[in-house]
Amino acid sequence: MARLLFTRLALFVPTLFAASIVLFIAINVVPGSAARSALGVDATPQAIMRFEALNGLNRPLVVQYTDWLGKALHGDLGTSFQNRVPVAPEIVRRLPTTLELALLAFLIANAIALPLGALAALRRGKRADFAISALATVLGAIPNFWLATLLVLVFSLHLKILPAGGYTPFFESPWKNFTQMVLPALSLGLVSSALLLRIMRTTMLDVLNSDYVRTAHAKGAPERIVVMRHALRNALIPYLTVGAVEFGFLFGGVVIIEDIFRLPGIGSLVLVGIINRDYPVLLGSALVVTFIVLTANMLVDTCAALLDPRQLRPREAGR
Amino acid sequence: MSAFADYSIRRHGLLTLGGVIVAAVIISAIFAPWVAPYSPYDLDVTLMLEGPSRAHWLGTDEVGRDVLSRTIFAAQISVKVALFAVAVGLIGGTIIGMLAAYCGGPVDTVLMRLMELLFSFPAILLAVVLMASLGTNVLNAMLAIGIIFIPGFARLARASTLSAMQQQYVEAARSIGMSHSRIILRELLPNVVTPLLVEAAVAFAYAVLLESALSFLGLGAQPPDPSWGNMLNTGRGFMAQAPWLSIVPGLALFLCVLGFNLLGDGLRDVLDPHLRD
Amino acid sequence: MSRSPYGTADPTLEIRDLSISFPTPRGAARVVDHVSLSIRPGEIVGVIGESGSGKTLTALAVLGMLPRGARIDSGRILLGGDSLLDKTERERRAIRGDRVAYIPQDALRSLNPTLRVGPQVGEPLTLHRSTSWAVAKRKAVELLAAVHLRDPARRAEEYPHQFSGGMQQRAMIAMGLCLEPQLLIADEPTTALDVTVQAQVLRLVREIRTEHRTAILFITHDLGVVADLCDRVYVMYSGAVVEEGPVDRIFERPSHPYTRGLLRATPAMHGPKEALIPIPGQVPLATERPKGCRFIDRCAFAIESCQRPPPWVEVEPDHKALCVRTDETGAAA
Repeated sequence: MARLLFTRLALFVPTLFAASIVLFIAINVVPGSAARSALGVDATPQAIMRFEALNGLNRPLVVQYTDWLGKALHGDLGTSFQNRVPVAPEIVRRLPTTLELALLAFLIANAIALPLGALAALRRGKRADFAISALATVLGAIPNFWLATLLVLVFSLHLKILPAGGYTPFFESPWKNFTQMVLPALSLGLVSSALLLRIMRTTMLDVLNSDYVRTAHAKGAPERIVVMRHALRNALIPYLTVGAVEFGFLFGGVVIIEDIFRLPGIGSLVLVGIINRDYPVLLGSALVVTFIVLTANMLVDTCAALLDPRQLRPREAGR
Repeated sequence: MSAFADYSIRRHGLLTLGGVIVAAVIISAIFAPWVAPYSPYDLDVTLMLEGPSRAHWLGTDEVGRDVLSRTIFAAQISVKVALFAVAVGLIGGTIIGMLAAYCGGPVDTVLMRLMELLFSFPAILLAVVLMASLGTNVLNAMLAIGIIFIPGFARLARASTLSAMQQQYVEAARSIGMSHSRIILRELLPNVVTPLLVEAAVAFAYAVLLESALSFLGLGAQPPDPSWGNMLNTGRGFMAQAPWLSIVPGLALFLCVLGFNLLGDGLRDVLDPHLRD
Repeated sequence: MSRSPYGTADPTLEIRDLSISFPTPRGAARVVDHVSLSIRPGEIVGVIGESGSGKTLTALAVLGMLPRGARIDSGRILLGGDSLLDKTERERRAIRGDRVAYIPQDALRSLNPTLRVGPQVGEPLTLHRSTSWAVAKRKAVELLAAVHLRDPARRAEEYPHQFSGGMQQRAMIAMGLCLEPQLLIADEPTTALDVTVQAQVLRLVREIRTEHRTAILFITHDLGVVADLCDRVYVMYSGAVVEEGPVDRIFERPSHPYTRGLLRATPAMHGPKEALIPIPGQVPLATERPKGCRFIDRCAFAIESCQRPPPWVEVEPDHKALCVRTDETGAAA
């Protein structure tokens, strides 16, 4: 088990570095764009040169990156172009909001996807299966930002039972925090559940058609035991492996959802960075969002491996 | 007997439904100037935020423009962006994927590791970051979304190429010394096209979604050009007085994505029978 | 004549006139067509046929585990006199794993990869006797020892992927033996194994028969295994039994042209000088069978009267073939 965790970690660290390089390149695809967009289109060449010199943007990209990386490793993500405020503390301040939103969305998505996906597989071809598959198709086609809008229309403006936005830290007022988090978490979680539901249905179907499930039936195990003891754990392994990647894909939704509900998280910081053309802010916040996604992927993937004895204790050679 | 009939009717029914929706979206995009009752740009300040009426079936927006007309014209931008983005992803991904499979070895490893890495990024985040440096306009939105699609297509193209390469006739072509470009174009490409086309339909839906998301954030189509995304963004300011501004474009977007998803799933069922349950 | 020492006891399993069909777009496909067979206690009965001949479906019907969509059109299945097809799903479940056990072809895929072998082998005990897991695990170790696994206590704690192929198949057999069933259905249990391991598993099957008087239904497509192991054999072709009888009689005097073809197409079954002769043509689809004899299109002996459904002809005591030409075919062997 220690070896398994070690190899995962050994793969994870270079991935993070590579991710930071990709983001750095993505932001600097067009050379010189940082200064121009920060200062506006009608900035004089002198102003641009002064700005680039001030922020070290006139150096080669490789130097800029290693410099940035070196500082980042010491917890310094640079200072905002806009107001000269250090980026890292701002991100730390906003981190709990995003993590809370992500965790709630994750719980909602799985709470829907796991039971319904399994049920659809068990009732394959029956009415329940078609109803659940239809639900997944509909949920999968709803844009999360439209769902957020609809939820606000219904629950905030029409029924007036949940706030349309705002944020109160959890430790200040857990209940208020909860009411403010429900709609954002639902917007993100419901949409994510569609894809996870399909994955669960497919993996569960595969498992239910497997020879070992037939063996369980041949032993005279009742349906409940076949599912709980023999099918579920085996279905969970591919579900987690595939689901981890897909969820990260959908996690980008925090950028929009936090903006809609005026949640002061990292997702909305990404947007601030873009709107102000504030590259240090954008790079830092985008990197942290990516970091969260990659970490979540790694954790979920490791959980899947821990569930699988074939990965946990590989067959010793020479037997 | 009846179980089979039920199954295929239901499957083909959904495929047909998807096809009809997609056709409707594409037709309204192409023929928008003739289909739409008004110009999407004509203001009428005397008719600001009017609810649905006989003259304006789906109401008017904050400067008195016809919501139905703007929604129809918005399909133009969505289809255009999605088409271009999918083309970028499809071509880029196919080249990278086939190259990786055909060369194998370190080329394969490096290319696919890179694709894997890109794939693990949250899509919207990557698009948003790319838009920041490319500049916010429709053309760059197409490009950014297209780049996001490359890894998905590359993975698929690689897998299909690898399986095609194991076919006997490809081995035969190699052994008789056919040139690399001939093998790739004549023998491999035809085998890779079908799965890629199915993926393209699904990617199309996702491209429409991403374009709307970018426009919603103000990074895609810029006002006054109508896009479902920027219409929804505007609508947020008037949710209490004019809820239709938040409902109509969203519904159009939802139907469009649904149509392409159904089409993609249906095509996958028809073309890839072994994936059927 | 029969090698079976239990020739007169009441049958453990009796299948009468069983027909099973699947719906297809081109009409119902009769995959098992009026099959009758019986097995007495302590008897090993082979069912031989190519894949698609209906032998596995017949076995699954006995277990009550037919795949989705399959329909039983006619027939009875009697286990120790109890009519299985009249029972509820709950009653059939109580029989599975207790009175009837199933040993499948692919042992690795048939073992749950995420559970240790011990609990899997002992599980029938917890299901049918409501024992604790501790008891079941103790029993599992005994069973693993009985199928000649070395160091059974340690093996019981391992996962299936840590076993070799032969060990996996023995674990499946141990699982089947858990509650000493009356009937053991083995579906090509040796096909995936190499020859020496196969011989060990067959020896184990014989041991079970002598020690427990278990009736064993052995499904295979390997004539060598039948010759080696079985007392009686049923030859299935395209959903129907076409010949049945004691193994030595059938090898001595194969009377259905299909059986003759099978023998000629098997290397070990005849002299080294003779060439192997494959049977020409293909098995007809279940929806496109000829009206008369189902083998007619591939048969060298076919005559005009083969256009009509053939009768059962008794070649010799206990040895029957579904063919009008047995006088010719039997003599020609």
